[in-house]
Amino acid sequence: MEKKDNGKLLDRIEYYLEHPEDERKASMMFSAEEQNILHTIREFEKLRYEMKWENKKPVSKEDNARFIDEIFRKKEKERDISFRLKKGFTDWIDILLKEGGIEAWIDILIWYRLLKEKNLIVDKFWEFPILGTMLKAFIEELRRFDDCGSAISILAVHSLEELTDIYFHLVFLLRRVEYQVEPKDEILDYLVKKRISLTIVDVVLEDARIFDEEKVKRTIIGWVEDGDE
Amino acid sequence: MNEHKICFIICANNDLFFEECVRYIHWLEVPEGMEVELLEIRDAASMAKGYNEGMCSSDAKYKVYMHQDAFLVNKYFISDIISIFKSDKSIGMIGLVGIQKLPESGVMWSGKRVPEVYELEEGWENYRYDQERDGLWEVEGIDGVLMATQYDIPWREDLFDGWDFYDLSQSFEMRKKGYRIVVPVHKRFWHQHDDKPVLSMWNYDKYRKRFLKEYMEK
Repeated sequence: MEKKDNGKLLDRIEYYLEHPEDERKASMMFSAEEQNILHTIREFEKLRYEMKWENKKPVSKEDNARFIDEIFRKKEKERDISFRLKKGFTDWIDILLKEGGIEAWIDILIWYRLLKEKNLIVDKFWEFPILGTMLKAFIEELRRFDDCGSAISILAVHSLEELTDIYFHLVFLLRRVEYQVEPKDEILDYLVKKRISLTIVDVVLEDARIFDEEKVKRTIIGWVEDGDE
Repeated sequence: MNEHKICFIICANNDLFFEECVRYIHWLEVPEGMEVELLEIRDAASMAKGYNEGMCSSDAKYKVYMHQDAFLVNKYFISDIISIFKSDKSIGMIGLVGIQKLPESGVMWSGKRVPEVYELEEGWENYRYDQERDGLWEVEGIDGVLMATQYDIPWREDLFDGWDFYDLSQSFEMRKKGYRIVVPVHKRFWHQHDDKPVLSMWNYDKYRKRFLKEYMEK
């Protein structure tokens, strides 16, 4: 991986979006992996532009059938490029996570927001809503780091697979606390073993499908206060 | 058929999810005299094929076909569904999410689904389903997240060789045989489902067309 460091990613992307024809400068500003993502985004947007159809509300049964067929026809056309963009993006995330550090996470955040803003793939693959939650956790930890210097525990994660694995482990453990399915102190052991902060737990608790957040919070805080670690 | 046996059949490809799913099954209260069997179907070629394999290898009268990422949080699930089945022999299948009238498009989520919203009340932890008080919704089809049966009807693996529409197909097959399909009116969650709000369904339309041709054009 050859990471270009000439300027903040946001400025570089902004330049690229304004001057998409300037391939020479793009190749100087972006790594091969980043260029791949940007090219695929352009291709995707071109495809979407070509596919535009009159989005009239269906009024008859026939209209409705046509409307639904059209939605699926578009989806089929977006299939290959969606998978290509997913691969480009997840490969790049893995490279950045392996590298680690605050800058790398900020880069991931920028790429994620760019794709979300353009409504590309983040709502199509399950990994990305999880990435979205963990990015929220990163922002929260960063804020606390700025405020009181507490550690950014999420920096210890070094691949997207590890990130999604931690997310699901946490959700499962929190849910077990909610339903009292072998609650014990498995969750505390896991947090200590993986060095996960309570800030991350809070964000996951808020985002995941856990009904009684207050009960889970109360229980965990109770354990921590009792020194049951 | 063993009337005192319930079998959970799960097509699995992820250990983390499967183990969590099983943890909740083991946590369920088992009515006296009932035997619980668990069948894990690994590397199924399709959901329908995997479920047929599971169906044929168990003699349990009651079978629960469910997703590996669904977690049963109604501790009394087993007795609740068995009492529903016993209350009416014409009930062939029970689901936790269903559709009362399937739209002509065959797209389940574009119609009115039940339950729509859970009534989350104070003291929900003590809530227990009561069929007389709470009742059942009569539905045309149920979602594949969980499908409980008291009769074995073959799954249409000949048509649905992927991961979509096997659930609606099975619902229509059940009704073709004259059985009713119901969803218990529940006021708290019976299950938790960790699917993320993504709309991938890359092969959905292929199977939607097959479904329409087989069941809706006749």
